[in-house]
Amino acid sequence: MEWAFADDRPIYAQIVEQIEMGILSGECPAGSALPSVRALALEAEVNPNTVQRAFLELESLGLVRTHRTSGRTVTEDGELVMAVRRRTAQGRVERFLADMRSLGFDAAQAVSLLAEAAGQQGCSVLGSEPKDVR
Amino acid sequence: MDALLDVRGVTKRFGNTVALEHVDLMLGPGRIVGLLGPNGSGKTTLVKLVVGLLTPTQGSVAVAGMPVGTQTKRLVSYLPDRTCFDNRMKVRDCVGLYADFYEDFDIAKAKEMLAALGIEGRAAFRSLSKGMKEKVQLALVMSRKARLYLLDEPIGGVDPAARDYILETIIRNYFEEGTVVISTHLIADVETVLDDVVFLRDGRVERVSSVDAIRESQGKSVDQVFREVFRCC
Amino acid sequence: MLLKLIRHEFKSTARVFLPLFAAAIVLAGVNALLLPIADNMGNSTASTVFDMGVSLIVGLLAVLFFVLVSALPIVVLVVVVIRFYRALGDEGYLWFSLPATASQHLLARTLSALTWCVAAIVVVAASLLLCFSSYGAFGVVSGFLAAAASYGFPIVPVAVMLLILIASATLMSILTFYASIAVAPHISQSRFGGSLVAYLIAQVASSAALTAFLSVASVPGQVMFGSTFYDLQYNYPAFSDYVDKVDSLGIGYEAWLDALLRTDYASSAISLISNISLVLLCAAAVGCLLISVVWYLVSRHFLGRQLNLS
Repeated sequence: MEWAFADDRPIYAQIVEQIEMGILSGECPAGSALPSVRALALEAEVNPNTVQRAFLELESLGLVRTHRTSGRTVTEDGELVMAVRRRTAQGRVERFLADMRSLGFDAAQAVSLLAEAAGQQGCSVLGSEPKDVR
Repeated sequence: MDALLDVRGVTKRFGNTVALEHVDLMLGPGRIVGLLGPNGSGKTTLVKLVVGLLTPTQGSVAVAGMPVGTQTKRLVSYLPDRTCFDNRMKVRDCVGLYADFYEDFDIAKAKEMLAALGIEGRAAFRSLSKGMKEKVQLALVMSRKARLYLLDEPIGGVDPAARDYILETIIRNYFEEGTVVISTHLIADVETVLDDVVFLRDGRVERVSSVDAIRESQGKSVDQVFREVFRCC
Repeated sequence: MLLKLIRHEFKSTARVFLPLFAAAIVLAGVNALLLPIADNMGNSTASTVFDMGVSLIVGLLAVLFFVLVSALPIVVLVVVVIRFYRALGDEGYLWFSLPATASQHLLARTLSALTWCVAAIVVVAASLLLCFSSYGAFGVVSGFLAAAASYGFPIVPVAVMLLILIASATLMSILTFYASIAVAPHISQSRFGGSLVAYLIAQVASSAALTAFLSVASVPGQVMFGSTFYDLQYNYPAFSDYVDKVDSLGIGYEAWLDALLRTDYASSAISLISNISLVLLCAAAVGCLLISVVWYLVSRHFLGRQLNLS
């Protein structure tokens, strides 16, 4: 994983975000092992305490499980992952709509712009569920 | 439980100059702390006081509950901001010296680190470049299992690859009972590795905070905050 | 920890000094072999270019030897002082981070310095003897000592006292330098300037103190001299009468001297001289030791509680 951190937020939060995205996108498959605190700290060149805090946060979100002997793995709870995916997508949509509003397009105009773009990309519009990502 | 480092009311005067004034600082174990400040703010003076190379004009310094002295020197591993070995010594002599005088020195680890750097034991210290000398000293300092590591300007004047090596070494050697204090004025390079920061200005402690707290409350990196706080004109 | 420091100190210094000592001894041996040869060549009338070349080389070797031998004790002291000066410079960041007390550092360095300085003096004496051995140096020295012993001169006590004095004076020199270097940061921003000033003051103080001490300590000697002199004058016939008597017997100078030295008069004089010498040597040694202790305490104070490494 490539690690690049922005200046304006705590690093542990950014680690959480990036691992979360990895889980949602399928880059970190369900049940796969996460690197150890030390390994991840070395890879990202951050403080081990920071990584520890990020892992604890991910655990409290339910995205990661700790096994006493074998370390940490990505959750296998498909429903939870789906729920997080939805929530994240909703956030993106709301941001998209807000961006469109600031450009002067209302929600209906934003939706038709969206349909146009999706049509150009050869995707079917309206009524489909997001594909299951492997 | 005694704090790992307890600096109380420390003032240090050199003749008419006041290097440190009424400094209070407490550090616990298992943290990587940045001692940040512009040149001349008293960082090196504070570090030397903790090591025992200077004695305070007023106030006291205690490490793990003991006043600075022979006993605390066993617990403190110090990387000075200059070369402290006789140039005619060979690298393996330096290793031998550390092994002889420090009980917590791990010879195997030191040899491994030096081998990874491509430095031979029989190389004379004077034949090494400045950057290499600093890496050797860092390898020796980090091969000790000390309670408190004091690194004075470890990344000043080194190339980026060396800087990465230094940060990696610090991360790799981190353990829960030990605390690493990095004194530097180059904050952007080390910020990701720090837990907490101590700002020093003109011999006084300006601020003590965790990196996360600064980023959360001010939405800026410590480096940016530092530049604002210590803007020079 | 002290033993470790001592061991380390000796190992580092041996690398410098042993080769020098070896060179002195070797040169002494070489000269011992070559000088007689050169002498013999000088005696023959034919002086070829080869002969001149050889005597030139031998001459150079002899000069080299004498230069080395006269410089050796000074070189050793200079090296020792420079090492200590460096140890309080950048190297101090290493040494004073070690878990060792100021006393331990000081004792290790003082012991090593003293050993090498005294060894240098011994090596110089030994190599001089060796160099002139082919001229019968050993014989001359041992003969002299034997003769002195036969006249009742207590060689062993005096020799021992002399060695103790040499060691004490060397110790005092070393510690005067060490104390100056230790105090320097408190005197001036410049370590070198501060050391220099401190040394000048310390040297003057030491000399003054030693002189004062000796003038007091030599009183017993003066008392002894006075009483024995009185004794001699009172109890023995005038020295001049004796001289006349022996003169008239017409014996040679050496026999005369021998006979003179075997008289009671002479033996009293000899024991007087040796006792006074012993007392003075002892007093001087004690004086040096006392001053050494003072400088040791000063150094320890400024390397311990008052350490200020720049």
